[in-house]
Amino acid sequence: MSRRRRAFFRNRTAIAGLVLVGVVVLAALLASAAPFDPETRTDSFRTPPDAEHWLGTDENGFDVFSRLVHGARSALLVALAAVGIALAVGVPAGLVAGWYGGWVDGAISRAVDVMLAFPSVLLAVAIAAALGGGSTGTVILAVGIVIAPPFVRQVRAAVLQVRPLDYVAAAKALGASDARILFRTVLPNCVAPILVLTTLSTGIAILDAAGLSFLGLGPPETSPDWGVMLTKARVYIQHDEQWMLLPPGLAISLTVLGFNLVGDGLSDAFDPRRLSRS
Amino acid sequence: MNIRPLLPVPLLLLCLGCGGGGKEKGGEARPPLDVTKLLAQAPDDADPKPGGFFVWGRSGDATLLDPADVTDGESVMVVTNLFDTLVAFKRGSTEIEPSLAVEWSTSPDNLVWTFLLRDGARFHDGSAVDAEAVVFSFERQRDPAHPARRATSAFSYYQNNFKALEKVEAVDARTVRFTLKEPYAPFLPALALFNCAIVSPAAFASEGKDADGRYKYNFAQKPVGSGPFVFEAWEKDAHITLRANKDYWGGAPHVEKLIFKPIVDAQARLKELESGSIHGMENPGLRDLEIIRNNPDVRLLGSPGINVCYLAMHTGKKPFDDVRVRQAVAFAIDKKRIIAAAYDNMAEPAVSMCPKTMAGYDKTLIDRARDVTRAKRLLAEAGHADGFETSLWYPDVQRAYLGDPGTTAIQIQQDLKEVGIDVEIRKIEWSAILKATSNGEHEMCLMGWMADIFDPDNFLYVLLDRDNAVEGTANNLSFYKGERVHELLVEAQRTYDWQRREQLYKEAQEILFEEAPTVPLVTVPDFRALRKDVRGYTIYPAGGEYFRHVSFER
Repeated sequence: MSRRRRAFFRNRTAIAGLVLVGVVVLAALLASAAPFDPETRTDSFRTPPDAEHWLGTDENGFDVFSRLVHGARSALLVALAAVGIALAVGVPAGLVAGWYGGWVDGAISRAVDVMLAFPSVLLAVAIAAALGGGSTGTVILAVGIVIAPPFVRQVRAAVLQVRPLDYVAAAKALGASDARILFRTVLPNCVAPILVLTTLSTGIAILDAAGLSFLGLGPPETSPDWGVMLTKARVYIQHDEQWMLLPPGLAISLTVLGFNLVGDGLSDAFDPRRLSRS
Repeated sequence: MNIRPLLPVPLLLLCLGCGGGGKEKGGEARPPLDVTKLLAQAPDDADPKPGGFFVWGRSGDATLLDPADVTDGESVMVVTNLFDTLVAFKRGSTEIEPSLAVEWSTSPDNLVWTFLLRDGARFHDGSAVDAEAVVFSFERQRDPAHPARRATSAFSYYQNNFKALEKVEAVDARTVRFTLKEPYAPFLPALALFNCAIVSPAAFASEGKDADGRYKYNFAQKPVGSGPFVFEAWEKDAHITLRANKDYWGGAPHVEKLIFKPIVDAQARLKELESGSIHGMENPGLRDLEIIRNNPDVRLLGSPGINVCYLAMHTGKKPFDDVRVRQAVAFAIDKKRIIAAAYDNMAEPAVSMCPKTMAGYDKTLIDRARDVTRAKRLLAEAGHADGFETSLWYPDVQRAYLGDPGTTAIQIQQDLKEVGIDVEIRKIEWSAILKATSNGEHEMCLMGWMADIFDPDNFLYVLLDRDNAVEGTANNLSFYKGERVHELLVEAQRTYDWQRREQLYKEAQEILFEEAPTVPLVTVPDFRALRKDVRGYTIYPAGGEYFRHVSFER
């Protein structure tokens, strides 16, 4: 494990990603210390950045900086909850499909194929719209469902790799139950790909959640949410008020970039070919 | 005898953007936009080029196309091109001129009106527009058992405007007689309303009747009228296509096809106009007016709007049954800030539900200045010292009177938060909010009204009389049932002397101001943007769109 850690920390882009993610996590943790309440207007509105309002104010009189850091909190919470759903659904499904094979595998794999046939954002929009939209819960559920299929595939593939190995046969010979073998023997040996996928999916979840909010399927317009901020600021794209548009836009891009870099770094660190080379 | 119940249109010289908002912290000073300079309404349609498809970009799709059953502007603008009425608005004006009726007379007591129909007008299905068709068009709105009425038909315009109508009879093939129960001053302008459109009885009868004895023909989806355009296709949320009626009695329209294209987002709409995929559009974003004016390919048109955007409080529900709570809300709302934040200073504060641009507006009313202390005191007197929780519903689409629904709703929420009222705001889809609010399901709602008839009755009686507070068909969304206001408004309907009517409306407006069942927020000018090569377009102040004279430059 320590060799892998060293491999990860030697990777400069991965470190850059870690820094980006770290900043966002820090912002989310310290959001309560923001100078203004994100849902209470101030006396000024649509003013450019100054000493009092570091990133200016929006048309409602909300402080953009305070909304941005609260937005970090909500973005991370939504993404983590969505990834949690994807893990909770995807991992057991993948284990079962890979272990039992046959018609169980067929059914699960075809369902996954069907879901992957749709562009993920489009599917998320359809699910959110079907659920009625308009709340954070809806967003979490919709995003969680659309990011689950890769987990199923990844875990299934890992199980297929592990299944013929001797230690699995040994566990079987000792009379362990299927559940025990799956969770105690097989799963621990699939951790690496799941970890990589989880990191990458967090980035995707943030992007998808912001997309849903942007389209008005997310939380109400007063919520400090990056997607909501972006959709409200969009009408100023041809005007001077860029301070309303750039912060949420950059926040989404950089956060997603951060998670992707970390994910790539992990993927490289766990890559056995790379390990043998170092 | 032709009674003209109203004074000529008092065209207000609106000079917007020069109010106090400019110097405040926040709203940066923008050059004032003089709407009157945009009144480029002189017909520029000499020598029109025939042919072409004209595409009109608008902020939402129609809900229905049955002229008697529609209530929203998006449906109305389609219907006004498909159907004719007995009398119509003069081009770009609120004055009345002959249409399907060529002449008319009234009895000395103003109770019997006789109309002579135009000879040779035909419906799109080929049948003649005769007196029987006129009777049919009105009877189906009056008689609940009429076969040309669906179970879902509300006919709320008829309910609102034609209670005084006793009967409509065909005297002969070309003569129709209307008999009123009591004098009704806005009767003639009311006949120009889209719900008085003459519909084809033959179309209704074409598919027979169902078991309940109602016509099977789905008129609301396949309308048949006698107007300048013929219905061709409706693909929900994509387009409504009409084609020119070559045999139109008033002369065929210049363009071959007229296409209504819903593009909800104002910026997307403008982009399509700039790229030329649409030729004209309603409701440009108020923030984009400068961009439109600076673009050499497009043209901005404007007219002082006859509309009001308001906040309605359901007076039948606690705590809004208490006048002190309603007054507190009225004192809490900062109209200036709403105008700056949501309208880019392109609107005027409204004081009365009768807009300043409408005859009969009570000029002596002085609006409440925002007063948080007073609002809190009123709340405390009403037993809500700690405030209360409530909800505010607002539409998801932009309207002429509601340039930015979300921002307006948020500003009201924040205004009320400062006096201790905790408001949950909820965005609701357009046709759903119309239905829910007319059923009285809301606590507070953000809504507006555009003039249909150039008469104060069209605002005050429609929006605040108890007759229109019937759940299911209500336009009185505050469900205010004041007795005295009802008496005044009904008396005004029966009075033909304009001076006297003005007095009655003044008293009603004073009471309504004190009672505050609604908080009138703003009156917004109407804006349209057109491609430079479009000719002959005119804004009709009383609403609706009329594209018969539109053509493209040669």
